[in-house]
Amino acid sequence: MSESNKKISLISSEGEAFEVSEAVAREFEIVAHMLEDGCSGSSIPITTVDSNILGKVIEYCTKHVEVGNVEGNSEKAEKDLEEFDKRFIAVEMNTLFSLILAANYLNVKGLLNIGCQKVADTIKDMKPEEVRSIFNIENDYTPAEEEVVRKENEWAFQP
Amino acid sequence: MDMISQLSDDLLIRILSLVPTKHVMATCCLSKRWLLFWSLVPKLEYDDSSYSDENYATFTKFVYGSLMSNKAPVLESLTLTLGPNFQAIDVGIWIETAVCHRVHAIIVNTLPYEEKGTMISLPSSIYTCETLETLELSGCFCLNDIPFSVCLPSLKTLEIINVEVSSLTRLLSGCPNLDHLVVHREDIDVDIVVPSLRKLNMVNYTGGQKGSGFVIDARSLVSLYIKDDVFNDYHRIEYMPKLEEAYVDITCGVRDHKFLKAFTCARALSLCLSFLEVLSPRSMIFHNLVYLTLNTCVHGWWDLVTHMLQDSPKLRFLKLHDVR
Repeated sequence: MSESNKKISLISSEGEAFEVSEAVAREFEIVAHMLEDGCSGSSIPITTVDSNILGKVIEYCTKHVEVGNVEGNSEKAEKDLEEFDKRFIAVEMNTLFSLILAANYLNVKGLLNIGCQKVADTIKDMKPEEVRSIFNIENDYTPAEEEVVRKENEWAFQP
Repeated sequence: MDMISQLSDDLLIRILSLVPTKHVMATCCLSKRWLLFWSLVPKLEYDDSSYSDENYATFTKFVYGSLMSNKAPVLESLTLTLGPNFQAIDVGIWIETAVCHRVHAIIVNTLPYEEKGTMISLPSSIYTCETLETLELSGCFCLNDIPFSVCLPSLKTLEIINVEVSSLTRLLSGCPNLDHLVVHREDIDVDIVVPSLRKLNMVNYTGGQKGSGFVIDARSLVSLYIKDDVFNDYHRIEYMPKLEEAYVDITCGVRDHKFLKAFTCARALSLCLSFLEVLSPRSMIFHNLVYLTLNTCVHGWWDLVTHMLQDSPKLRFLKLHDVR
């Protein structure tokens, strides 16, 4: 990993600056590509992500860079990181979706993976009605239409 | 506000590919938008262990329905966990369908053969599947019709556990890029000549008969785990210049201590070996060895530890244990 003491400012959609090390900024693949393309500026606007979410994404990347830099005892470090991820992603749904959108835009693969996994785990073992209510999904079927869809895919609704 | 709908189709499909297929199917009634997704999910995962005898037909219909309608541009994986009721012919058709969809990974687990009594044959198309990267089979499979034309150029991971294979040597000859091999079964009789192989895990149980033996010739091997209690005529393991760690437990008759020459590059070794001849001194140097574990339950371990201590200049950790 390229390691330097250079600081980079990431600017949120509200214009707030977050100063991070280059190693942390490079965890955002979108930023890594900008740096490789010769973008030499020390401040990078992240216009689609607000301060609250950008702060969280930086927290995630900082932790992962720190752990990645420690040598030895990798098993324990891996376990700690898993614990960290688990706690980190235990957030309410609105924040979770914002994190997924931000991770997707900034291309932070690890965060995108744990975010998607969290949503997938929530969908598992839930009835469609419960999924609809927890994710606030508007049902735009008429009762007759829904009946047809359920009938066609009857086997998916068996216990 | 409908939060999840802010996510793009790609992201929703990515999320759904982490959900077992049964629950994916149930999302089609959430809303009209969701109806479009299920057939695009590139990972199919079925588990019939929660189905009782009477609704096996429902499970079968479900697998046929969702598998045949899948429209994902690339089918990443088909995973089947099968209980006691499966029909071999259905499983063969499902695997063949996945192969037609240019599948990347096939993972099928069934009960052990003794409990079931029927065997699944793989469709012949799988042996020339260009896209297959991972093949993991355990239980009631019988691979007795591997063609000479076997060619799996993309296969990286092959795992076969308690599966009947007539010629594993032939199967391996068609896997030029294999990276990771796991074989556990009775009386393995194989030549593992795979230059690309980096990880090998082989467990050979005795079926009560005398075996002929095996050859391992894998120059790229980094990690080796081998446990063998078959009374074999020979074990031949060729020198492995990239070896980092090895666990070697061969209980029946290693005749020749030169056998150890293959492991002289390893950084970590765990050995459980009994020799039929006395070690001759100063024969080889373990120039990278730092961690050594020796099992003291076998005949001649003291000779072995004496020589290994002399011949391992970097050794820092020695563990002796007695596990029968």
